[in-house]
Amino acid sequence: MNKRFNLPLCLPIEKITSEGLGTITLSFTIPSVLQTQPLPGQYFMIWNPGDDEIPISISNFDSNNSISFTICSEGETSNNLTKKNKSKLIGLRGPFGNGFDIVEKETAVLVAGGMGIAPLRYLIYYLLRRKNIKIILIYGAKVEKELFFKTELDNLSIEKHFCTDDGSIGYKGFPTEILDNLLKTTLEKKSTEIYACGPELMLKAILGVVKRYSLERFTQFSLADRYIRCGFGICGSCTLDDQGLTICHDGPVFRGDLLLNVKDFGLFGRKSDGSKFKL
Amino acid sequence: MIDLQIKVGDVKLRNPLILASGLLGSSYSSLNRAYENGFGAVTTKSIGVESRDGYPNPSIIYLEEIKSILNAVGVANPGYKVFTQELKEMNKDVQYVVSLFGSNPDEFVQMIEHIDEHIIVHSPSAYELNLSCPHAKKVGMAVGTDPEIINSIISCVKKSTRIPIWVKLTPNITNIISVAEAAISAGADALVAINTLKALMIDIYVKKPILSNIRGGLSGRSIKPIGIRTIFDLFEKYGLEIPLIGVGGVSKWQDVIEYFLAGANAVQIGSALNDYSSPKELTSKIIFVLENYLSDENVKIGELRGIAHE
Ligand SMILES: Cc1cc2nc3c(=O)[nH]c(=O)nc-3n(C[C@H](O)[C@H](O)[C@H](O)COP(=O)(O)O)c2cc1C
Repeated sequence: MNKRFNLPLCLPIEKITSEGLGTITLSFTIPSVLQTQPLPGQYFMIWNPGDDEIPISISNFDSNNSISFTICSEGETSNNLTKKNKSKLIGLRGPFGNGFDIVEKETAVLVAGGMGIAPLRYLIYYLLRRKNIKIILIYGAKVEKELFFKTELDNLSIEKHFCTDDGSIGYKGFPTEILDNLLKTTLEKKSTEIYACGPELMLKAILGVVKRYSLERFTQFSLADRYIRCGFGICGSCTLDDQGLTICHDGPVFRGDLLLNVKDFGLFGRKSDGSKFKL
Repeated sequence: MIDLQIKVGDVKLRNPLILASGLLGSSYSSLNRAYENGFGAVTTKSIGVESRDGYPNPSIIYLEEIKSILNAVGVANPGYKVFTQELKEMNKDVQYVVSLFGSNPDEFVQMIEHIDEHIIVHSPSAYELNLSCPHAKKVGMAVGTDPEIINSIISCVKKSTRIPIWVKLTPNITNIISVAEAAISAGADALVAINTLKALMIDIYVKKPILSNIRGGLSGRSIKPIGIRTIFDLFEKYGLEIPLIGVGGVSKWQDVIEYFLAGANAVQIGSALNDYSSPKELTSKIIFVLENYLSDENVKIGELRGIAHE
């Protein structure tokens, strides 16, 4: 059962792991009687009492009901969250959103940019439990230090392709180039499902690539850095033009064929006052 | 085919279900979608003179036990000039109502004149003056509990536009008749009641209010009897003199009938969006059974108005 907590479930921070560059992972144990089974790609509204509440993807959830959220210090609220101490109470409202549609295909290609690795990390562990799916991770960042979970990922027996803008580690270039190259050469297109998360401009570029191979319908994108208010699809603060779908409830994961018709995808976001801004 | 068409004064709607202000109303896309999904009309989020970010989150919380919502969004909106651009993108077949908030007559007039001037071909079906938001400072309820201010706002606005003026009232007042009287005498074309009720929730572990704004407004099923009572009071006093739009806790077809029997000409629906998987499911389920009921009872929906008073 995937029970949702509509009111913030206030739990003490059980573990804080530093991931470098002011980024941390907060872990909590959800009492098992509460029977929640959140999916990769779903998110919680994380409430820092007295401050603000922000949407954060689940970066892991294991069989001991331990749930993790990885938070970078970019925004003011996330920055405040990274400064919290162990045992402080944090409110968790969720899980919200649709999550990734786990498809039983031979190969899962995961494309991550920067912090976009967070939901894909949970997806990797989730897919590893299905023994028959081959996992290929393409992970890029500006510089080596921004490749979060690098050591942890190195220890997993999955196929990995790292890249950095400056070539400080891995391929010098973008994840899209690696994806394009794999699609051109080794990947069996019919048996491949692609899962992507990262900055929206990167997602837009990925959509361009997969479209050339007619794979937009088999590529799932998580729009993880948009403003979200209610989380359950009623306030309308995060709708996409022109379809009027909400990111918080109808998404945050959308397939590429749908995104091809979204006018503002990769172009405009909306602020909390509802006005548009250029991405 | 049962005819669900209704009239709110001179405004004709294809059915009596109107999307309430503040839900799915901040972009042309969601308003278009809600109308395509079956609402008789859709209301925009309340718009003001300046842009507002709204309050930090949590600002909207669903209370599952009582199928209700506690919110203090803080009238987040991009300001009327930017929002006018949004209105230009509305599909031409959509009947929409523009909700506005302000602190004095000039602000309302300024916004209405601007929209009237820029949206000529596909004007709003009505302006709804939000004189009732319980959690915004100096606007909404702050002006909507003073009959004198209400009267001057509506008188000024009525002089500046030919588009019908609906006035949304607050239930957070001892005697709603005093403000209704002021609105009607100043020329309001319809009354909309009710907005949310002032409310608060505390987390017992954090030991602090949950909403960042501390206080908020309660909506959804728990407030329906209050909405019904308010419409009943208004109809009892004014009868057919003024059209009434019932809001508060409508989530099933029975609620629509109940509001009509109390005296409403139409209803607005907000929180119940969360009871259904999509706006489409909500409207189609309600409309389907409503049609059956009317056919069984052999009445037109409008004929039910105020019957509970007979
Ligand atoms: C999240 C939320 C935002 C709202 N924003 C507005 C608003 O901007 N203007 C307004 O007049 N009413 C606003 N309301 C009040 C609704 O329009 C409506 O009056 C109230 O919710 C009662 O109806 P319901 O029980 O069907 O939700 C809001 C309600 C909710 C739940």
